[in-house]
Amino acid sequence: MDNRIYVEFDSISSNEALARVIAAAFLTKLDPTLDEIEDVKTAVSEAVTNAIIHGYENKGGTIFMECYIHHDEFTVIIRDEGVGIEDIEKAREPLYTTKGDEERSGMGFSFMEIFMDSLLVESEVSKGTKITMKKKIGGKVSGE
Amino acid sequence: MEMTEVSTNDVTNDNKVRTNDVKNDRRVSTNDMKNDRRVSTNEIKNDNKVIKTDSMMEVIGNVLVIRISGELDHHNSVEIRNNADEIICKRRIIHILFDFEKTDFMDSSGIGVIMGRYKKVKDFGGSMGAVNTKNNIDKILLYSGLNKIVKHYDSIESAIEEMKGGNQIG
Repeated sequence: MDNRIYVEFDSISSNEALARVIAAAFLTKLDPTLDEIEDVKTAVSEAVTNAIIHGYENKGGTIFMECYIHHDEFTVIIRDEGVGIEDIEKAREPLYTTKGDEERSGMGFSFMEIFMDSLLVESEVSKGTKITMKKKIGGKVSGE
Repeated sequence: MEMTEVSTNDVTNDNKVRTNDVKNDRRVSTNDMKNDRRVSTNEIKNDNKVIKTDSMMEVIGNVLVIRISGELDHHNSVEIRNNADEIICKRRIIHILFDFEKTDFMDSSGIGVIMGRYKKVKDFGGSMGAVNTKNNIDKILLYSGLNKIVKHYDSIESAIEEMKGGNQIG
């Protein structure tokens, strides 16, 4: 059965855990494997962390998360109204980071891509960023 | 915009500098390693409770064992990083072993923590190790390329023995 949730929360780092637990709990309707749950949690964590660190530059704001289930496909949209991304292509490159001094690995978008089936990044400078990720649950081994 | 590239290739460099005093066994832990399998008091005893992260550090010779319990994400990476760096500096740590036995979750922030600690010890011929990695941690280490830096060991005991014994990484 199709389903949808929508949550908004403050852009603070303790909400990273909250966001991925909410997404994982929502996902359980599709009877996911442990691996699939871990994959979704990692991807959500990366997107929310990006919103906090990059989107809102650790200054706070509101993060919007929407999750859908349609048939056997899980969709999560994570959106911020922060600074936006100037060069999306560059940002998606593995190991690219603008925050190397904070020990950011530059693997955020790579992990979202690896752990989910699809990743769409939409962003406008000084307007914000919207991340849409989809994953079919059941039957497929992740990362292959 | 500044671009910071992290190269994982320098792992293959020979481990060089190693002063004599680091070889001395500066054991500070009072616990015997084998007995010290206790669980931190902040451990999650109940699945329904809120997950707390507590990293337990132990120094054995010039090896720092970091037991990541709970979740390693951006939120709690700062504390683990600061705690580790203080010990690395004070105890002249050369090798770092991550014990993932109690780790429920790690994302790319954990990669940053591991890479950052490696940068601190690599000039002293330091090596990095990992034990008790579960599937989710293995995936993160693999896809991030950290497998080139972090050597997997079967047990804490064998890791410590090899790490203390010399520069046998890679």
